[in-house]
Amino acid sequence: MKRVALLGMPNTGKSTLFNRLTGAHARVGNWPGLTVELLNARLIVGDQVAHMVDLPGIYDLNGYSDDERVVTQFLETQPPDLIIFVLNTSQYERQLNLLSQVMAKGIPMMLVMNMVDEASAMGIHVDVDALSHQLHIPIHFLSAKYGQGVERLLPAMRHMFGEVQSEPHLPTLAEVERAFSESIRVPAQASNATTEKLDKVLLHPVFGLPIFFAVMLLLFQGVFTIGKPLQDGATWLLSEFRVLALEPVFAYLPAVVQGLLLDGIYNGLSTVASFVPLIVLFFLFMGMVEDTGYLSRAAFLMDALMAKFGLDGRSFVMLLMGFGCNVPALMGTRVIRSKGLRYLTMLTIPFSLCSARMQVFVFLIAALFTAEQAPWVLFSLYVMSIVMSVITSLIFKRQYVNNDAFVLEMPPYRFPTLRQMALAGWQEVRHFLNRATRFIVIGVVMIWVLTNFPQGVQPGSIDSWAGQLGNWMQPIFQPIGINAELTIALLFGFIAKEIVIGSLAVIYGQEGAALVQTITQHITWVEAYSFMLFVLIYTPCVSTIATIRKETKSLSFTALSVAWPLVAAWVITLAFYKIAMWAMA
Amino acid sequence: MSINANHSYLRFEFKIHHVFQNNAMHANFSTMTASSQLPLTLEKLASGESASVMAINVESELKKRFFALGLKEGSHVRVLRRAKFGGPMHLRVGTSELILRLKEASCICLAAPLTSV
Repeated sequence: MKRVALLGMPNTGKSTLFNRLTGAHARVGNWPGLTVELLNARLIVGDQVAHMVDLPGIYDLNGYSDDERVVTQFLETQPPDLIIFVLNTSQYERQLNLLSQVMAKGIPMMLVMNMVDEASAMGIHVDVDALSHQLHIPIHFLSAKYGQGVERLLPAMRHMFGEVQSEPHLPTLAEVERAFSESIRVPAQASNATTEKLDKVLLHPVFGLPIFFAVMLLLFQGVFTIGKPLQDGATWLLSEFRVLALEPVFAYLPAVVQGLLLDGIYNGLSTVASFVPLIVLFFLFMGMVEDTGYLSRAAFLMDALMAKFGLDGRSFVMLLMGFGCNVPALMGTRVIRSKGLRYLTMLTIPFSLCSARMQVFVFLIAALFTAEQAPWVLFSLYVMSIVMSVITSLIFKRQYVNNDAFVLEMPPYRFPTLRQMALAGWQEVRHFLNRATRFIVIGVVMIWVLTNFPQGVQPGSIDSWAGQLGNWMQPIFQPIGINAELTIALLFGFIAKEIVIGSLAVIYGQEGAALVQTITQHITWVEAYSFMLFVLIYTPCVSTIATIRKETKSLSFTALSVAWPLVAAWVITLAFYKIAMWAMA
Repeated sequence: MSINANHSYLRFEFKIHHVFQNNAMHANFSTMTASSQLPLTLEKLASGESASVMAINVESELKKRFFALGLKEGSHVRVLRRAKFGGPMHLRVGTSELILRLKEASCICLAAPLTSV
């Protein structure tokens, strides 16, 4: 099978092109290092199947950041049959060094001059034929975002696979530069007028930061305003489905099997699944902000403040990304070259209130607080999330010293197309299904077994295995206001936070409105808040731990990143619970 | 030239000397400092000012990154804005834009600035 690699600098639209060509759903973002895993997909080229890899965007083939090392290693250990080098046409000059470095590898190459839309708007003109002739490689001028010119790539690749490769032409940087300067015309005052106007407002010395926080608040507000009715609708649909379809169908099965399928798997999964619309919406909004290039502006606005905590603007962006999911945020730290800064950032990211934890909070808050209180309670948890990151960086900044330079590209504002947004939304649904099958089903089944056995016990009662386990842990959790049932949810929540709400449904043997009712009877708001605080601060999920381990290859650091949040969670929850009880007495 | 309007000017003076002491190009600059007190470095430019880069005194890894972002000897930089509280500078180099901290900017020596646009 022929192997094709996409290579280029960050923000050149490599991933957009990858999505266009393969129909796969690599995430596209206006942020360096976003293609963090080596995304790959099969591609039909004429009568052959090719394997296409989207390499992370890099600045220099001989660089020392982790993503640059990944690319160099890839080219050395498994050289592809064809490299498609993606160039952002309007900023071609600074990409020529990387281009000539890659050409020097002698691997057959095709050059894609991307973002013809932006280049044309700036009045840039390219003589593609002359350039192609001088560099001795095929060149395609296209727009991956709007699809213009992309149709010519597949036939061209097919042609290249078919032809006998001639001796590769290895031009020097000077030759490449000359070839370009002879065939490209750039107007003297080439700039992106929209970006300049927007930056005047969004990076305003006084209003820039307030605008940023207002945008973030608006984003969250939008997610809940649109998402809550969708979630309620999903909950209702899933309950109806159980009553109208599943219960009659399963009525003939033995009671134990029925219990496992309906009260175990279905209740658990459907409670988690009802959150999918909310989560998809959340990622859609986050993705839009990410695609526009506003995150680089956030890095600019926040850098001075982050420096006080031993972090920098990039760390801040990763913390923000962590609000979606901690795992890609942890991998995104690969662009940081300083080990100290990278470790410190990785230590703070798990405190970012990710979407899985958000589900637990939205669920419990809706059950125990009034509609007026709810947004403020949720907001207090987001504040706590940031406070924990700050405390952590202040404590550890002397161990993990930042000696990295802070220099970052500011891409022009780009607006995602509907197609890109639809792809991002679908990506999240797939991500959920993936987690659902891997962790959530296993988690809820285990909890169902623990709460329903030994045989004959009242499900979830003190006599069940879960009850005994919860009881045994009470000396640790009782002082912080977490009862035996919630302790079980916490234990399994260690695997993934989605299991927490799934397990509440299983433990209380109910779903939908009935579950909410039961929870209100069983726990007070102080206990619920203690529980939420603990959920917020302790380890987010095993995927996070695995990622930290994989990225750092350090067992001791991984241990620290698990132990510190556990200790902090217990101490802070204890403080909250004792103070709240004292205040209420 | 609005050097004096720039608050961070004095603060970074020390660092510039420090850079010089550790730099192999020391000799080149000392002749220049003799004629015009201190060489102009990027962090002293106010927003709207522009100049061309004469020398970049950073380790080679960082220099590569600067290069990849368009910042190299001979390139023409314009300061678009400076963040509050000693935060980073927002620059335009050719058709690209980048941000960098004042610490790094102080390692970039400039030829005489052109007037603000």
